[in-house]
Amino acid sequence: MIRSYFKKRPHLVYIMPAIVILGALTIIPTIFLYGLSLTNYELGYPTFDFVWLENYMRLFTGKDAEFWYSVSISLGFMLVTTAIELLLGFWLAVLLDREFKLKFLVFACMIVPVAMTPSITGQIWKLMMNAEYGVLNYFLQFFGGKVIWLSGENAFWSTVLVDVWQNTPFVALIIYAGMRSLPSDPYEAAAIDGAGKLQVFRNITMPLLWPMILLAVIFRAIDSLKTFDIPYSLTQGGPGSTTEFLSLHVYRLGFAGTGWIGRSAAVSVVLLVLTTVISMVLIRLYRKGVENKG
Amino acid sequence: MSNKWTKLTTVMLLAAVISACGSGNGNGNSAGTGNTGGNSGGAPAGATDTIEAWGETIKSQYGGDTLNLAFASHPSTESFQKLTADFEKLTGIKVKWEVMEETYLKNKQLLDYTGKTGSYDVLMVDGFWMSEYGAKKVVEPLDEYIGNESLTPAWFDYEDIIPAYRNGISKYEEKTYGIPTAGETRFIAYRKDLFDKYGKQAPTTMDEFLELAQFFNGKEDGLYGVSMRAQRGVHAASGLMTIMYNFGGGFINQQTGEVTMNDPKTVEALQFYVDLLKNAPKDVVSYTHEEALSAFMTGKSAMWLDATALAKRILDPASSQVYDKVAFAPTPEGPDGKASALAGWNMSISSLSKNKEAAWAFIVYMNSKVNAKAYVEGGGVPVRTSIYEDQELVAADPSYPVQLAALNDANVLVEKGISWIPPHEKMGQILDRVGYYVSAAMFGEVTAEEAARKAQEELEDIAG
Amino acid sequence: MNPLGNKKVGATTAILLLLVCVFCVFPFLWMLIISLKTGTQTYDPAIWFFTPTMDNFRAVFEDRHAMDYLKNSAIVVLLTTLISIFLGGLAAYGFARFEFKKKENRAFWVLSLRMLPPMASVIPIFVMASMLGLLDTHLVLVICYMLFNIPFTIWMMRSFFEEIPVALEEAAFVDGASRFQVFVKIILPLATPGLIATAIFCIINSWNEFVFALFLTSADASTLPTTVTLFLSVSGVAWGEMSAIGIVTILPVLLFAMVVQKYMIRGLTFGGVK
Repeated sequence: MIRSYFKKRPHLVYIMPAIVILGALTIIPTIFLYGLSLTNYELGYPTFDFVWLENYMRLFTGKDAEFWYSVSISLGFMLVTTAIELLLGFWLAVLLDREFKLKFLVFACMIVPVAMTPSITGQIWKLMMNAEYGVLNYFLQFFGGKVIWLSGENAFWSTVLVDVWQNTPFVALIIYAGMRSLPSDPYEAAAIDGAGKLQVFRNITMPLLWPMILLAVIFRAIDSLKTFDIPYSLTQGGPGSTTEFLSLHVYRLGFAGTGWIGRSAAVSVVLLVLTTVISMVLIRLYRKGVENKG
Repeated sequence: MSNKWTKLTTVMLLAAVISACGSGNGNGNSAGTGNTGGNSGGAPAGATDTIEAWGETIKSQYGGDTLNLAFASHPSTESFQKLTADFEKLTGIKVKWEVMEETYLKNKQLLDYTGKTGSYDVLMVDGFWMSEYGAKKVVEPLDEYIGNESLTPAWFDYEDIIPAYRNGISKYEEKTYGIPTAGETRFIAYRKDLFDKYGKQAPTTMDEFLELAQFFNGKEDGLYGVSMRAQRGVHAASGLMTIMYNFGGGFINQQTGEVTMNDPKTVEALQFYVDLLKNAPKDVVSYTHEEALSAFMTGKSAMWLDATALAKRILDPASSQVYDKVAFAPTPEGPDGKASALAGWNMSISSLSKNKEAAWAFIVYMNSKVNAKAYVEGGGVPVRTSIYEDQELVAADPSYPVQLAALNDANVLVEKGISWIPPHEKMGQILDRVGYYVSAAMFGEVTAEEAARKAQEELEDIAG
Repeated sequence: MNPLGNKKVGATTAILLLLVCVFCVFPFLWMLIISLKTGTQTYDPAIWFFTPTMDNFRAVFEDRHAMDYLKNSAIVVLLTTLISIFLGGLAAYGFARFEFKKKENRAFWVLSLRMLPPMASVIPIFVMASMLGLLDTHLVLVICYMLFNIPFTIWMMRSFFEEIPVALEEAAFVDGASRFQVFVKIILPLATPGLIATAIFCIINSWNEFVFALFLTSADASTLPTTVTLFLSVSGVAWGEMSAIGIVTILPVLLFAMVVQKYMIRGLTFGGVK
């Protein structure tokens, strides 16, 4: 019976192992997480009680003063970095989309940030950004400037800068790869019709590239929403709570000395819901883009 | 159908969590009692009167065992590591070090305990964590070990450890949970050359301290008045504590357990701390030990107030640009008199350790009076009276007399019946919350009064 | 194949590209410089010419046991990459070659798993791993990394498989080969560029992963990114040693990525443009 079941559905043999593993690895921990978020479990204590929605009440009634702030800067960070990286990445891809000899070298340079370990890199940036003995201010001093990179006003933007440094090349490479694999027929047709450069760009290139751009947006938006390594190394969420993104808030509540696992799990659930909703919306957009084209 | 399954799995999983946690607790307890029972019954046989004889005895019992350690990156740890080879040779016990930064360390120790993994035998425990660890039974009570002469030979000399440390950083509810290994109080280091140049004297009161900070701030190109650590969280809270007791403030009333964050004295201290650090480098709100110290050592600040344990680095020509231009002064007197920090690190035995007596042997060896000098010479931070009185060492380190003076100040609190680190099992949470609001006040988000009021609310929620 | 028109590289473009390159590489360069400086030199960015010291590297290998971490990282990353590519490759083939109900929904479900925040799953995974006695093993990291590597593999490999003409397979079927044989003997070799591209991203992601490694491992299975915790200390950040281990961490992956950069860029189309 099982045999005939698989015979009728030959794809299962191929996709099942991966699906089963992924399912087990995501669904069980997620259920577990929901369970934990309903308790007042604290790290290291032997017992706990179910407090049901109390942890969520705390978040939504403003008792956790930092929560809403975390949500807003996380979303802000997502929007800002994705927008900057997309624009810069696109611009870079256009710059690269031409033939020249040392191109491989440019690529080699661009791979450096992509391959650098964020946790360690964050520390190096922290040293570079030190106001008193950092190398960035050393350079700026030649122009008579001095920036307190990690002060309250600037820490958020410094984190954005590091994220942009690390991920723009990735976006640029995706878009570049997309440009390179565009079909040539529409362009030839356009040339025959005598279409202008801008028209070609708007009517042919953009629609064709749209899926690639959306894909880059999906990756970047979600990854920056759950950013942890860089702000953790760079600012530890400070000064004040200026860079306390949601993942850091989870970390601070659940670990790092306080140990409120239950409360931290509730914030995790919010983070999970946020990423899921946003990625669903983006993925839906992406699918539309792909299907319209196909 | 799928709905039913989901429900069923949920219930099963939750049950699993509960039983895991429940049974874990049982294990912890039974292991603890089982072991202490073992102590009194099967105390190690054999001579222990000299360190060599003790080594033989330990070797016959635990030779070949391995101990896993979870320690903080700290000068003392480095010194202990230098002593490890001798210990391994003497006892045949192998030692595996795991050394990391302190917030990671606490995390790791607590996760290890919660997960019932029991990977570690000996833990290095910050005095700040002791109440919490004691309450959660992360660490083993040590009184029976200390009292047992065959386990703790006379050459260890527990009484020689400065009483303020023994009582101040290693106990919870009258029980001893750790052996102090690195003590710290706090003092001011200041730039003697600058003070001479402008004809200033080291501050003796908090008012003078603030005035001097304001005086030197911007006095020379790129010079700030003072540097301290003030990163949100533990650092900011701890920084506030450095001066808070001199104003008579506190987080909680240690007699009644009432939260006293919005007590006028605490608010005054907070206001002072905020005002003081207006004369620090602009990014002081992100400073930990490292940045505060670096700012001072690179000549960017005229004064620095932090742990005595770090004095060695200031005086080290290899790391410091001001090593020959500094002098030290105790924490200035405040409106409420003298007081000084009393903090430090302990060695404790993990309650999940499967080899507690070997772990104790390690602690005894490393912290014994016999090895104290080698330990200090290796860069370790002293906790023993005999070390502070050692002429040779005093001559080598000009900060010793000031350290002793600071320790006397620290004792003022002990006499008032106040423990510098409030003995509260939720200390970690208290520090985090206070640290958040201190940082917010410094950041100008809220006024000192407002910060204190909000901290009061949150602390009442935690402590109540 | 240059639809946006043939453009020359003018002086402005060249300068811009140069700036981009410098900006990209500078932190790495600075890390290298710091790793060769002594403690006091670290705090003076004006020192550009100095006699390099190898002390930091020596300390990292002798006192900090960099080899152990390197070994752990290598084991975890190789295993998880191999398993992920195998399982993910199979699934990708399934998605590429078969038509079935709700195929796209499932494919996108897989993609959405790539989006799970590690910070949200690390707490429950920690509790579960401790119940199973898997904490501080290579295995637990291998499993966790599959969580983001398999979805990634499925998405990347699918487009590579779809580009391989079905006719090639059909010819083999006629010769009596089973579908699995065809997959192993014909499809996989043809998809080698894709495999390399996928592998490099799996390797980069797992090699650099921090959250799971930090919480799930300690003495026996810690990987290189967690070493950053070793150098922060009350007595100061050991910047030199931290940079040295940073170089040790980054170099292998960086070199590999540069060698296969052609495949890497090709892989990034994800089949989004066909």
